Amino acid sequence: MDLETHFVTDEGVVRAVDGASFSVQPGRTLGLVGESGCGKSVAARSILQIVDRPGRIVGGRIIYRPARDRADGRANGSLIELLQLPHNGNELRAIRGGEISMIFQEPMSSFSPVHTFGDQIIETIRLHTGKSSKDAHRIAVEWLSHVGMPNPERRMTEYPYQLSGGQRQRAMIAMALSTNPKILIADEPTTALDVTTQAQILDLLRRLQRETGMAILFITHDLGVIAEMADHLAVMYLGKVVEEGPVEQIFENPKHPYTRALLASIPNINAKPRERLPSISGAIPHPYNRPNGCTFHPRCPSFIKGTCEVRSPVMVRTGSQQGAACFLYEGA
Amino acid sequence: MQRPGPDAPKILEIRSLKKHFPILKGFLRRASGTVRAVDDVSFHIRQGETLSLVGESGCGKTTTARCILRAIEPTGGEILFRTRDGTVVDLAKLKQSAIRPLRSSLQMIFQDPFASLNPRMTLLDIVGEPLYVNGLRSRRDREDRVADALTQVGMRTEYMSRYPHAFSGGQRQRIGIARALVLNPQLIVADEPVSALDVSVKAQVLNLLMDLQDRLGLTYLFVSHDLSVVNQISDRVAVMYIGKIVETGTPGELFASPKHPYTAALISALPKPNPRTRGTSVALTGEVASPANPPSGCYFHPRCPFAMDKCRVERPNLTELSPGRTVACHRANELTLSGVQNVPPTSPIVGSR
Repeated sequence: MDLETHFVTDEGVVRAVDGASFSVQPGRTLGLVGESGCGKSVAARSILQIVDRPGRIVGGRIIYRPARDRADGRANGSLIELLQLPHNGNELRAIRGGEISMIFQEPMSSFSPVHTFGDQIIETIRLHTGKSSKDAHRIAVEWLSHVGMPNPERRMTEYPYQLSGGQRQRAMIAMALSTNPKILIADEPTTALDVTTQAQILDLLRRLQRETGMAILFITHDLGVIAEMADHLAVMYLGKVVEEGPVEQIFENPKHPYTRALLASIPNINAKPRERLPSISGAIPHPYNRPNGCTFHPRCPSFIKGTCEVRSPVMVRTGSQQGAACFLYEGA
Repeated sequence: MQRPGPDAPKILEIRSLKKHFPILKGFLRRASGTVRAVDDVSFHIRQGETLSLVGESGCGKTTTARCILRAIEPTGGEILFRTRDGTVVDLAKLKQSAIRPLRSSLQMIFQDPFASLNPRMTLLDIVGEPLYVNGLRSRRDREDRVADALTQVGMRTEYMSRYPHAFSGGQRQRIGIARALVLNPQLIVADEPVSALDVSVKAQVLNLLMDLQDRLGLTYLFVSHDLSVVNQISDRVAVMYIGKIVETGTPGELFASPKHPYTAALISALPKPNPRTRGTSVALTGEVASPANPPSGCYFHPRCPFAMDKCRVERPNLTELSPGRTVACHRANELTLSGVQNVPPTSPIVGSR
């Protein structure tokens, strides 16, 4: 809620996340979409408080409702304010990687190159569940075969460089899920993969979600992928959520001019060849140089002079579950 | 705009192009095998058209493109290029020194707009360097030509003395295009030119490439893994799998009724920007085989849902179904594969309220 993560640099403050609010429900997938630099990855990292320096979370609240069957029996169903927890405390560490796991875009840089997959997965399981190394080994093999890894026993003794990109991504999913997380944060998990491998990984995530009932926060810039994965959508532009709602509603009836332009500019395989695409004029502003008022106004086709460049729009309801931060809908 | 027809002259013709990389092993670096990155690939491009090479990573599409520019040396085959005065030369046989004068006709646009521009050179130096190398020594003349090229790609000429860091990804890609244009080339090889760009900027750059082609009569060899981009820009498409072309045709034919199971699988795997069609894709099982150790028979048979005994033994040849439409599959005539389902596009009309 109203999350603000700023990067204080020598050249000024970059407001990477500037008052973004969103929520994820168990068993559901929230898609966080936006172009590069919109703050979607920083928002996700803020949840686990793993924002790289010089980033700092300066405002907002992150509320997590733990499942009733928590191992330590405490905090039954009550809410936890993640930002109130000490940054390096045991409680946050137990949640990070335990109840809330994350998978990244580049699996090669997320694994240690000098340890085997087996050792890395076993370490995760033991850290979070306190199981014996024999049990942890068994669980690790189970998860590897569960994510469709051929020959899981052998993979346990192999190093990351020995596998293909798709298989490394499967191994990372296995590691992230081996602690039975309630929330999985997936930051561009298929962007580095070929389309056929991407389709396999998306299938896998959908199947695992059905089986475990975990919530997924899915971050991507690819609207095609989001249409395949998400139930609910939050569209970000320059650190703010500009539109949110159920995925079907947003794709069929987008309200915010940015969402509209974004959807219209997807190259479509149904399109007539050689047809020109409608495109958004201009480029994303430099983060040091954020426009006043509505940050989209210099590129907006429905720009209202005297309003958009002066005031910041707030999120208003535009449909039963849909909302947009745009003056077109204020007072409507 | 009228697209070039089948009677337009062939500007480039590739005949059985091969590029094999040796696998070196041990202290003595003895060759223990070969990676057939490009294995007997043939195609042609007509003046003014766009041919796209598509396929997954490792299929040899970039290697093919680089062989044509002789950035790497082909192992075999012919690369017949029709020069401006109409003579046809075989680029594969020429010495590097003999290719030099032809280089101004063959230019390349690279994938990564951040890695392909020298951060310590100004735009004038970056875009002007090809001119300098080709003998245009007067700074004033270079400035004029660079200004022209920048205007062509929609950049302001005042930016000439700035450095690349001042520009966004889309603008940098425009600079890369300006650099390719400055020598008035005939053929531009574009290797994944929009893959690194954001959706909104991707559309701008694709439109620019098509506009430039219409205005300057350019010929493109477009290398991409993204079928929807390829559909937008191409006149003809060649699908590659493990160093071989498996199917060719116009984007309309290829995507509406693919004949090779691999093409059909690529189309099916493509995420469709429509939440209503979710879960309709059929995922291909397995992974791309290694070109160092390809399977017997048809290279695609271990992943093919329609493979029969013949496919495991005999390699299919690329055969012509109709003019310009070829496929390498034993069962091309009996299979009915589904292509792009014509779902009504969900994209709304821009600007409506």
